[in-house]
Amino acid sequence: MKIIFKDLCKYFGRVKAVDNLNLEVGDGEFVALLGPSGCGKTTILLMIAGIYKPSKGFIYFDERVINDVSPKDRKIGMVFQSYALYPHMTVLNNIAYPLKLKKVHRKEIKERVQKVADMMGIGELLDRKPAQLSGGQQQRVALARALIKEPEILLLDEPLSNLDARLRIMMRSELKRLQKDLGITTVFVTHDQLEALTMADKVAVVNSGCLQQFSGPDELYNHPKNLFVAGFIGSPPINFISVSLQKSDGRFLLKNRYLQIELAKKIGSKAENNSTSSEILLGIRPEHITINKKEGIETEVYVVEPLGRDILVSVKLGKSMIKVLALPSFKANMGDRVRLNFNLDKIMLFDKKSEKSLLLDKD
Amino acid sequence: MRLRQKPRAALAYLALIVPSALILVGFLWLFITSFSIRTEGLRSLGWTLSNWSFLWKSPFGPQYPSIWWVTLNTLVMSLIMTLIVVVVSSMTAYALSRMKFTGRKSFLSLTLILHAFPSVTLLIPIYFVLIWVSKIPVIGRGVPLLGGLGYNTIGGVALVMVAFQLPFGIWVMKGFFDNISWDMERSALIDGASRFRVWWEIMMPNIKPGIAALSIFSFITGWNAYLIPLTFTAGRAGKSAVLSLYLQNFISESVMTEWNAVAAVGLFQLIPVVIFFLFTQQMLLNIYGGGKKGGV
Amino acid sequence: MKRKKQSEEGGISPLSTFLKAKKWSFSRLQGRLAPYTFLAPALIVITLFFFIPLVIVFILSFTKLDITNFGILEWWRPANWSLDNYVKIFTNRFFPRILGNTLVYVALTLAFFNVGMALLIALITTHINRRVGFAFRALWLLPRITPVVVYIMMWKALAGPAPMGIINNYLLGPLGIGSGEYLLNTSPWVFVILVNGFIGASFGMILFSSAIEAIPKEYSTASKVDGATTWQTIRYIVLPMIKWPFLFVTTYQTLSLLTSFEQIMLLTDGGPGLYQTEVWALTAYHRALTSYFGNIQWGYGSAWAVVLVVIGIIMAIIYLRVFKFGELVQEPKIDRL
Ligand SMILES: Nc1ncnc2c1ncn2[C@@H]1O[C@H](COP(=O)(O)OP(=O)(O)OP(=O)(O)O)[C@@H](O)[C@H]1O
Ligand SMILES: [Mg+2]
Repeated sequence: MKIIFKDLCKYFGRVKAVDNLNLEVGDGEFVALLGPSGCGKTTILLMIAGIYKPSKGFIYFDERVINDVSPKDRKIGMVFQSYALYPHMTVLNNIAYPLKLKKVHRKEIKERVQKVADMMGIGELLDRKPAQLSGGQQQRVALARALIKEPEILLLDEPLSNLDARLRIMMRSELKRLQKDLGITTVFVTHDQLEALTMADKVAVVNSGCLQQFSGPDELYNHPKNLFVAGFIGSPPINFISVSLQKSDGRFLLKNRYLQIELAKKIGSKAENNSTSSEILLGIRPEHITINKKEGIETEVYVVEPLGRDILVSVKLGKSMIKVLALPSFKANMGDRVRLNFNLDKIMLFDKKSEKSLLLDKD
Repeated sequence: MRLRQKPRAALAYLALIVPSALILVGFLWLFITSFSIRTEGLRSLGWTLSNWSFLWKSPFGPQYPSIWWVTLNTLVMSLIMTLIVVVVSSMTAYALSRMKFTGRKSFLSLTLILHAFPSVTLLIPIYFVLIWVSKIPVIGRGVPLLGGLGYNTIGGVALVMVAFQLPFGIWVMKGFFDNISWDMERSALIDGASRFRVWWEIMMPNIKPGIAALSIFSFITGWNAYLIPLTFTAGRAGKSAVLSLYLQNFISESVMTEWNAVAAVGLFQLIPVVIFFLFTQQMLLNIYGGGKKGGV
Repeated sequence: MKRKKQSEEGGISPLSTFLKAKKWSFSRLQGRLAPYTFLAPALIVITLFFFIPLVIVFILSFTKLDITNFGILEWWRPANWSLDNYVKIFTNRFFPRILGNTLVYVALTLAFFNVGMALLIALITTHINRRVGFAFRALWLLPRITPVVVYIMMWKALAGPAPMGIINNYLLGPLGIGSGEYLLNTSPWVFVILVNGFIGASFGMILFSSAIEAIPKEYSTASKVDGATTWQTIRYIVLPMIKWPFLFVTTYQTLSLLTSFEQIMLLTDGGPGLYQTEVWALTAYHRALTSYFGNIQWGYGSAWAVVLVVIGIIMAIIYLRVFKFGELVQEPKIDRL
């Protein structure tokens, strides 16, 4: 089933939890809602579920407006951040509850519960109470309860955030696999970018109630639409450097007191067309900078942090700090003079005022 | 500094212990007296069981109901009242705590007002309401065991008790409902439950401490009730008498009150409460466990 | 403009807008009505035993309805209403005494027990061994749960004359105070206050001790580290932090005491001297519902009661203001569709 949001808004008194959201989740798609805490992710999910009523705008399931449809008629399954298992019921009754409410025959309930429980690997736990389960087991029970009524839409609210790091990585791939196997349209909420990028077909980045960008993980990483997305996605985070865009003799230059970079003609002219002033922000990811001792922009090493697979070098360029990912073979000490080279294919340019990327085609 | 503090602390302890001892002495006296021929202070002047003869022989004569009938009356009234109070206040509290509807805020303020409201001042007009209810056929007088819901019936007395207990009950229960996670309720709604089923199957099992505390409190209130049965039943030792009335009747009936016999009846009424209390004091002390805001 | 917004976000729109809405279905209607189904039983009870009586008591207070003209006097007709009862109250010879009694009773019981003793118990029991503290609190709950008739009986035994009475026998006798007479006759007021105070202390005790226990331990630890004595900790840390429960208990119990009379009725019934311990609420009851003073005078008794009812309503409204009730109300986190 498709989910379409049209001009969707939700206000709590003066707080705009969701502001004018337009989005389309395709049938069978796995979409992640990504954003910092309090940006309105849960609110969006609860509006899909029918717990919150939109203040404005519409939600469609396929062609049907479902603003006024009650939760029980929406054919959705939801896993809450806290799992929200019923503490007074056994695992069996927890999973069976949706079927019991549908007045499914008792024998059939039993069979279906067993089937789902086995699929989730909790077949042995059916007689226990939720309090006697580990976090990972509780999460599976919640998932089983959401799946048992064979919903057409699955909503997951930070389902992995209460798990330990190892289990989280394991569940990440399992969830992804499960979603593909069942082919249920799934909306998944997270504030962990790695989770969103690795699991989802498409990611919607939300900030204070507004949709920032909705695209596939690659696109999001390499062509962020604005400053917020560029800064939010990527770890270690992207570097921003304040520069001015200058044109001389048909050449485009990015300049500030410490550096001067020549842009390719195509990029340069696009940026010039899109920008409102010559003062812009240059964005470059740490892995797109190479560091050496011979040629490039001159800087000073501030601190070196080994990350295992590679090392993170922070260097000082004037007053600002630039982070660079270097190979482990690179040796440097604090205070060493080093030089940087930017991968010019990978640089991003943003307007300072509108915070929009300057490299997008105007539409 | 120490020296200055000591007498103050000692004084404080004294102020707590002396009155506390007074409570214990009162109970001790009741116990000793009920098994004595006569007492002086706490000293028995001879032990006896004859004070307890009311258990098998009505002290007021055969035309009056026996203690067991009165006990049954009291029990029925307390249980009915408890049941209604718990069910109605938890229904109301659930709606007030968890549902959006027009007039929610006004209803909430109303509960608070009624909770602080001097309900006893309404005894006079309630007398009229009950007389009016009596005139309704069947409900008024014809219900077995309860007699009915009107004036001079167990049911009517229970109903008035319910009304007086309700604001308190709603207040206590709302505190407990407020503390239940929203996600659990949302989850049940998505699973397909109606609000009624959510209330009964999901919420109620999770506020058992609140239900227990309110039930105990209501039951004890019903068991002890004096003023309302006195006001709304005719004749203190009549068919619809409850224990408090029976006891008070015993005190005023006899010209020279036989304190020893009266003490026995008093102890008879008190014992179930005390036993009950010993097992549930923890819960009663937590009756405001839900409402952590210090009463509001 | 503002109103429109509210109705949009909270889904708080009256039935008429709902009916006007284009789409409505049975299940939606059911959803709208569900809250009122939950409220219905309480509403019936409240209407029957609060609203209707409230109206009746006001009307009755303007009439001369009593046992002699019951069924004859058409008390619901405005033609039969007058202010005579109120004039009668304020010109009553014993009016000053009853008013004075009520004030003394409320003020002293409140100060010494419902607030004073309650605070003392709460402070001590939260600062000593937990189990002992709990035992003390349980003990102080006993008077409230003891059947009132039994409870009064105990106090009468405590107050009894010399050889039998416990206080005379063990306290006053050895100390050589008093003449060993029945203490309810010699000093009824002391007992009126004790009897009510012992019951009343538990309400404040429960609220205060849970409020004190809710104070984070760091505060008192920090103040101890700073070298404060226990008394100073209580004075400067604990007391300021339980300001709201304190205010609540004080105002709430004022109202409770003002309208309570059951214990006094059983203990002294207003005596032993003429109107010696008669308080306002007891007067209302005596006038209207007992034949103690001659006729049962519903009308006149109602007038006495109405004064209390009015005080009750005013104080209740003040609560809502003082405690900023409107701001404490939280919106439910599930919308009505
Ligand atoms: N029922 C409500 N009443 C009032 N405000 C609310 C309500 N629900 C959410 N909000 C507010 O709306 C905003 C968005 O909340 P939401 O729970 O959707 O954030 P979130 O993105 O899920 O955050 P988190 O990652 O912390 O779960 C927050 O500012 C929150 O305080
Ligand atoms: Mg959330």
